[in-house]
Amino acid sequence: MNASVRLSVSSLRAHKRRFAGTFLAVVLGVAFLAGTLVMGDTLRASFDTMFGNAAGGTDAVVRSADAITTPGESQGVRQPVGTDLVRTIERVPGVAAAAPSIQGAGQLVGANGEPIGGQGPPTLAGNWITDPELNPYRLAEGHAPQKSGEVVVNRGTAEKGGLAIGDTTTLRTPDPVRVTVVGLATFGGEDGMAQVTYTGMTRADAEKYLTARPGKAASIQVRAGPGVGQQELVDRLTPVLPKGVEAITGQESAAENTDMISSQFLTLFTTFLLVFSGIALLVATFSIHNTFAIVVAQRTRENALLRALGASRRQVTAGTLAEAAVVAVTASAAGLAGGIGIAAGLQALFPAIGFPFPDGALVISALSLLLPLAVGVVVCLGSALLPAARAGRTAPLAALRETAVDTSGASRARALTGTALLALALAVTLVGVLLTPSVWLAGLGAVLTLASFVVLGPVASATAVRILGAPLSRLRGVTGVLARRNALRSPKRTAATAGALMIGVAVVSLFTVFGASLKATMDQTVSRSFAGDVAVSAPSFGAGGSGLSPRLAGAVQELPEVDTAVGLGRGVAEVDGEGRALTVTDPVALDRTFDLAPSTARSATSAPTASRSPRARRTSRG
Amino acid sequence: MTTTTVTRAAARVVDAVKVYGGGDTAVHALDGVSVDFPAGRFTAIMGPSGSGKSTLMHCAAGLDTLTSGTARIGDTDLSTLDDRRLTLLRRDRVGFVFQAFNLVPTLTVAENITLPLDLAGRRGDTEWVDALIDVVGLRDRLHHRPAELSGGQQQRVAVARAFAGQPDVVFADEPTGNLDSRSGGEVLGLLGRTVRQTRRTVVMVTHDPVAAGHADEVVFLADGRLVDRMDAPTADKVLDRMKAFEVPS
Repeated sequence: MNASVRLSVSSLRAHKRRFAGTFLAVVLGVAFLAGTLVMGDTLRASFDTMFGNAAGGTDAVVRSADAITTPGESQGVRQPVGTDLVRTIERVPGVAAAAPSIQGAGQLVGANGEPIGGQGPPTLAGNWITDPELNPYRLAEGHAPQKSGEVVVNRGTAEKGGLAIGDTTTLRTPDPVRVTVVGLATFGGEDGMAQVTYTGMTRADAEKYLTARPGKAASIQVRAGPGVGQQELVDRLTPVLPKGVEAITGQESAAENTDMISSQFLTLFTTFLLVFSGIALLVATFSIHNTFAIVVAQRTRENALLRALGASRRQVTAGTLAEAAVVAVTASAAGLAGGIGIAAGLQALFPAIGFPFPDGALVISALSLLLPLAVGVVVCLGSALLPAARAGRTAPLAALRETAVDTSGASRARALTGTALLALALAVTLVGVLLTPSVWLAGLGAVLTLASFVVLGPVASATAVRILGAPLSRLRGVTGVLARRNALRSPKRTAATAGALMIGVAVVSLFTVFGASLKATMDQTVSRSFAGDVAVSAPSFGAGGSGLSPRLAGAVQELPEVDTAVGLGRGVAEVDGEGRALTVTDPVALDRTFDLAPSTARSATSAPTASRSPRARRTSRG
Repeated sequence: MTTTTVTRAAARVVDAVKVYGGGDTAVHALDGVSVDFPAGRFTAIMGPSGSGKSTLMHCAAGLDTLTSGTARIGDTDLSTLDDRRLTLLRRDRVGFVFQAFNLVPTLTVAENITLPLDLAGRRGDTEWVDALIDVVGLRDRLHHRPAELSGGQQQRVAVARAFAGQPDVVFADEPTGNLDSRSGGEVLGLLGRTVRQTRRTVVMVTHDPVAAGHADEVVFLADGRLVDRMDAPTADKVLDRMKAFEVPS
């Protein structure tokens, strides 16, 4: 065995406990990263399978050709197509069946009187498509809705709301509709499409309650006859479709749905976990650097002895790096195993908390194996690089001195570098926050600030210990004096210890401040512009909830105690070629309720633009 | 056998000057020392504290550099070597025994003995190493760690390590400084026997007349200058000579 490797291995064996913290930090970071990647791949693959199964019988989808996509949304909002198009399509040779798919918001009220879902995933209602091949939902129990007021509910929703076949409840569309559950459905073999709630009504009910005007559907699902391929079907359909309406294959449609779920749900989920793994690895960087700095300092005499006996600088540096490499590889491997374990555990846990995790084996791609391993090893070796180089620079004569003198620490150069770095960090942060708002710039500034504090640590710790430790000598006598001197003896060591704590506090502050800011921002946006006395809203989050009935504003207005009531709705419009999310309302009534003065200029310019654009349209109510 | 035996010097310094610090506070640790350490002999450097004997050894062994003058190991002028070559020279041609902290605590006795060879990536002369282990009497301790050995045993391991690579010269810096007299005697006997039986060269720094008595020759240093040499020393003779330094002049 190579001499420096043998030295590192025996040293590691002798100081196992010293590396426990470092090991754990790397394991956690790598585990989060690996777990996130495996989890994301597995979910994506499962959703692929699920949508593939669900939409298997749909060979083509006919829909409005252009979509308005607002920033942050992967799938745009499309204009509905006329249901009368179904008859045209059915006449095309090779078409076995066609059915309109009418969709809208519909939130069911559970047996306990509470609405079901609405805290993120969509709450959907639609027409129950009678052709089983075209309907992504399969009837599992009961029968399809046959008369007005009958509905089929996906099994997951029914279970969550405590609803059984024969139960009568309310469906908020948002106008309340009394419905009776007559059947339970599954989606792609699961109890539902993730947490999405689905209520299937008769076509007549759907047209009546879910669309602004009857005779409109979100899309038309088409099934091909025997021997007609999906693309062939699309090619045959395209000529008969009116302008502005397109046909896509069922496979494309399923892929779009998977993408939508991926971007709405998976991206959020994986980003969240990736942030955690990033923080864990950042902490790991400090922990590793700290551990190795201490190891190298403690081993000054040993390294000096090696240098005296003829170990080259490179051998001593390589020895320290070899130690780091052993820690890196074992910890990363353990983290990898842990990450796959986390993914497997979540897969088992999700169904237990009522989240239908699609079946399927864990998907472990080469990337999810190699990336975390590489990141773990690079972070570990990178953090150990400086201490290792310092080890290599040990003078052979240091072996002959009793103790190594720590000259680094509160040097002038350090103070100047640190201050300069801090100034730069503050400048970058301020520019990122105030001048050109940019999360990346602000984030870079934050990391730089952290780095500058690490550089300034020994300077600050010396001052802090001197001040904080001053009363110690009076309170604790000679032990107090000793404690203070010990902390002062190696400001770097003191700072390194304090640095680990600093990172911990920084992470906690980050989340606390972030959470509080988010809440304050929401409160402020409402209270700043709100000039009314009472706001009526339906609690919902994300794509869930049914919103409020447009008729509600009028009804509230009728109350004798109310002076003015105005409804606010959401919509999208294409402004100068870009999709924008808009709030739609009655401007006359609005003026009395909202304080529009500060932003008059803005609304004045945007409103005509929106109305000038022929593609501006109101698409949702509530 | 020729009548003019030229004794080759294993190491030598010529006009060695070592100054620490500068200006008014400059300390002349070595103030123009010239001395040969003949091959195949056991030389002791004696002198009171602050005489510059340790500095002389560090500079002669390539652990430190001279301010002026030259230091040679064999024919190699150390001042012409960069850090890397100096390191290689120490590894391949010099052995060391320090006063304390001679051994790498995490390596076994056997691993410590072959450490310079391992650093060079050489196997060395295994018979020689094997014989050394017997000479220092540590065969039953080969797989122990230094912490499990007594101070005397640790110094014997250091002696074995110093000779393992068959160096041109072994420098010993107060090798018995931390030992009781019995263990110290064992280590000194070991050094002396090894020199005489294997024609190796040892240069030992000491302030102990008893230790110096084991050497073939003693050089005396005072105030950074070479003041005397003594052949075939005994502890008593060295002690008498040392007393002369302490007499106020």
